[in-house]
Amino acid sequence: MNYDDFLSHRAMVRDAVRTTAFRNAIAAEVKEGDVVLDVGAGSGVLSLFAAQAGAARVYAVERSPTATALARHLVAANGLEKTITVIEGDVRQLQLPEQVDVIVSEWMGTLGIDENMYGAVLWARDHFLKPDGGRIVPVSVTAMAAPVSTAQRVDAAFFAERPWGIEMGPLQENTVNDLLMSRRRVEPGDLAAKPQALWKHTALADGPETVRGTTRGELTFKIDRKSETTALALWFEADLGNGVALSNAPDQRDTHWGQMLLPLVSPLSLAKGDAVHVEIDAWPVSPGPLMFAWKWRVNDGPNTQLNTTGQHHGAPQMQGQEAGFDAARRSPLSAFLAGLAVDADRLAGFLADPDAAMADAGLEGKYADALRSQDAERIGMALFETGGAA
Amino acid sequence: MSETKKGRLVVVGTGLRTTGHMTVEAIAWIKRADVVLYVVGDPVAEEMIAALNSNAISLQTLYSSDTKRIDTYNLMVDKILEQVRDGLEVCGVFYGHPGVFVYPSHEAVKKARSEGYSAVMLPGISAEDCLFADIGTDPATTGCSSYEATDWLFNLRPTEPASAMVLWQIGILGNEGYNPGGRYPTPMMPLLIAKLGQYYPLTHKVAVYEAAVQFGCTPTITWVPISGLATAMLTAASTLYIPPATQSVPDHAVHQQALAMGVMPE
Repeated sequence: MNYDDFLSHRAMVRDAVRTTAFRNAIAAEVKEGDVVLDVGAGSGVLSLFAAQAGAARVYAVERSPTATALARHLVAANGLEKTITVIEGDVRQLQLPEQVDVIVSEWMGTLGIDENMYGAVLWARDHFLKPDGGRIVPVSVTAMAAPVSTAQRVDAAFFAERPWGIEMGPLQENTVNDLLMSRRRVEPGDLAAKPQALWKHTALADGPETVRGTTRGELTFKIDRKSETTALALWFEADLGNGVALSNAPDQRDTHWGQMLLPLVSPLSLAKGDAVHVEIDAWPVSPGPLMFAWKWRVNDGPNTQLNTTGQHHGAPQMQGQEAGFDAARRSPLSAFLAGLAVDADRLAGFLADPDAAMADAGLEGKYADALRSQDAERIGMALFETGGAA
Repeated sequence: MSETKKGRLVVVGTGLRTTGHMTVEAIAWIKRADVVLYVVGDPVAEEMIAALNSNAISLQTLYSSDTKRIDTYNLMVDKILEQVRDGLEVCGVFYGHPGVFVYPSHEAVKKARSEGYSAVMLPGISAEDCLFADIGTDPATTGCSSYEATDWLFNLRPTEPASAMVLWQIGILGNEGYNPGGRYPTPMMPLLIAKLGQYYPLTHKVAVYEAAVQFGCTPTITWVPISGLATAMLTAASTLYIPPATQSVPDHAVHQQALAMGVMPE
């Protein structure tokens, strides 16, 4: 999602389910005199709630210049300039004069971590939150999943039907390798099986590597009615603390998130009692949202297909087992370092002349720069990045 | 002599950072195994294993938030043993030293042996190996004891201030979970400081150490007085190195006996 426009912030603030839940959670969590850090503050609405709740000082950090300007206007309009400091920039470059009692952040994408913002919250926690007694809103976010039978494949079906007599098959393939994102409402009746938890993130307990590596989920669903399954629907259930919950589940009130759909190329005709095994990998590509790869297996049969986001701009679609699940998320840097690990001559060559060794291997751009930096965090990020200069 | 069954297990480690820490022997076993089962959290290791052996299966997928850690470990052991029982030559690959802070590796070797299969564990480079190199201390000089921090706190372990001591996992003191690199609240730190104070002056400088896990990077070593541990920045990967605080006390009785026996060196 692009946050550098008013439209998206307006939509988020107008989302009464989301905004009211955060107001209630912040009112319960922030105590008189607390110092609060708002990570990815956007319009600053959570910071304003924190000030309302009695915070002595609030630091609202936001990367988008447009949103920062918006937040400053709102803070001024509410006469809270002395309480709320709006800072434009990345929280990872931030210097704060004090540690904070509470971190608030609305970091969730449609299924939780998909907007790749959770790492910033963990970074802020490790650098600014008081180690003993510091609190975070939300407390935890669980990604939920269920196979669904929806009309959402209509795009793919449309392209398959040679509209206007034109072959549009490639667009069909591209369509299923894209996430069908927000505002596509899944009805509770679309679910073909009972939803299950895919993974859970707990802000005070997760290590920073949680978001550096691949987040992997594997579930087996028992189909509870005959259906033409078209996709896996994903959403989140967040515990905002103090008994306040927030979810964009199909059976909850509408939110601006809607649900995420990971579509199938062709619908699966499933009978009641069929077992559908789904594996999902999600991994960070900085900057930007997470990439996803997903595959399905029905009743221990062969893998139905493998889809990968980011394959829809001319790159060939990964289809079938032979493509290799893990191939989708390989970084040129990890391949290069793995090559050094098993070949002493290559390693000796690198130690003698790193630039020449990297050039010989075709390792360039951000990957080579990361290795040159000798910065563990930067190398760690690059190990999970794919695409771009190799 | 009892006959060994067909099927064999070799457990190896990737070292703390794969590039540079893989032993030639470990590479060879991964290469020649019929099947490789691995638990590594590192894409370089995963990439390397895939390049060395096309029949490699990750056991990482057995972790799940609703399964107890011990059940996951036992499941890993079962998966390894299934392949051994099928008569295959199996290579189990674990992060770091496969026998240090790793339960399923030891258990798989024990179980395979008890069922009559050949099973060995090969050493890997552990965090302790890195610590001696990075801090520049030789355990042979004064001796060195090594404990898990919570275990040391809650048990009466022999503690000798004239020797070095290493306390592992100081950043997750009193916590049951483990997330490498993560930060945990450590409300038991005052207890640890107080207990260390029984043996060492609170001004004694100790090192908070984190080995470099990325190739080409440097380790983190922060020297603080013991009293400063209360505010030190600790992560789950932090280790405490305590150098000797006092001189070694000679055992005069043994000296006398050795002299009397004429075996005392000049």
